[in-house]
Amino acid sequence: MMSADVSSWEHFASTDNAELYQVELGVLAVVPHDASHDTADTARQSVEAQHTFLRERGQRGGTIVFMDAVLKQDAAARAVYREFPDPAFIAGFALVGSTAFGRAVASVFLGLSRPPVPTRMFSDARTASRWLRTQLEAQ
Amino acid sequence: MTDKYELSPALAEGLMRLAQGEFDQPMQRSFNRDEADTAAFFVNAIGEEFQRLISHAQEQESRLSTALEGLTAALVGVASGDFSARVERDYRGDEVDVLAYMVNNTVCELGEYVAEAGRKAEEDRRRLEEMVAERTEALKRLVDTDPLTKALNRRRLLEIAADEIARAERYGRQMCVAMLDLDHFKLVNDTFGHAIGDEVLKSVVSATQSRVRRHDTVGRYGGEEFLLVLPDTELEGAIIVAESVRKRIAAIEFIVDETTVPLSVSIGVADFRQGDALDDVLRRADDALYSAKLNGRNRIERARATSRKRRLSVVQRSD
Repeated sequence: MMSADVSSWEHFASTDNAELYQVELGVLAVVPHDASHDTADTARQSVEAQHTFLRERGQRGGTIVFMDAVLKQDAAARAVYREFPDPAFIAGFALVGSTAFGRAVASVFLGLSRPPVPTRMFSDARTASRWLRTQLEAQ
Repeated sequence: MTDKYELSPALAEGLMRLAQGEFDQPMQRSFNRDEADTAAFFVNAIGEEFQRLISHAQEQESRLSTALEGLTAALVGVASGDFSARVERDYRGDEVDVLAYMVNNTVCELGEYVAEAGRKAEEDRRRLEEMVAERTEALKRLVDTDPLTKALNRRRLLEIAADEIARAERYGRQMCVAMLDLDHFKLVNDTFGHAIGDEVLKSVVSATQSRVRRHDTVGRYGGEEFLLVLPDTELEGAIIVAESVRKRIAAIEFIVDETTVPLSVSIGVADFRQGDALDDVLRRADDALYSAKLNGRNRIERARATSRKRRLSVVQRSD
């Protein structure tokens, strides 16, 4: 399972099941706690924290989401990711999964439960970050 | 040697349930995120999303069916002229809600347009009716009026006189007529010309109308002869009115090229007596007028108790 190296990242928020960071200008990261349970509540906390961060700085950003650590994810959590992200602030979601399980969790968001912003799956954070920057430049 | 992948019984069972639409029995998970647990998570997640999508589709179908029913009812209403019909909205802001909103707006606007068109048509109809009434009135005045003096013409004058006599007969009321004739009018025409004669006639009518009451009628009976119809008036009252008219006309200063044209009228006044026909009253007034002429003109004479029968002889001499 991939664990993110957060040492150089700026931590800006915590939710009940994850930590949120700014990786670089315009690129955020959501790092779930290991074996975390993603519910509607935790999903809403995560999306609202990202919106608040970007709104206060007057900027748009893309978010890397590390999927390997998620153990359970409710259908209600997926509903929040499908309805609430605001394209005015969030340029895209880059889902990083290096395990079969992590990729299985991510893959649902690519078809059956698509968020309202561009969403792709990657196997590493660097490629994910690069894609998010192209999304920011293109939009 | 070919790789052989074996589907675990649990996974096979889970996939079959998925295929059969049984989404309320998720696969058991071990939560150790190994291959079997990943498959179970995946099958369960897919089942949950399938269930959501199917429910959503069913709900949309129901909403669309309801919206179509509302739309049909609204269109039937519009077709029958009822613009109050509205499609019920659920304010979700999606295509179905937008459709309902647009239909409601359009029906409302259509109703306003039809109402406005109706108001305009009503306004046009009313204006047309007014115009017709005005033109009819103008035509009637034209038909009833003497073109030179603008007094009533003989036809209309006698109609009114006949009506007043009938009313007097029915209700036992009094009424009188006064017949006016310009004195020496032929001399005026011969001396000053017909154009001046016409102006004299107009002046006489104007002066007469200024002296009669609102319910009295003034009309041109003949060339220089005028008739006053005086309803609800007894003989003495009619004499007073006639005298007022005579004085007024006598006071007119009609000057042609520094020459004063003397104006005067002779008047015969007759009252209606029960059983009289119009001709009877007119004859007595005419007789009275004749008397006024004989007795010096510029005066008023009242009708006798009985009218004097005049003898008319027509003699055809040989050429």
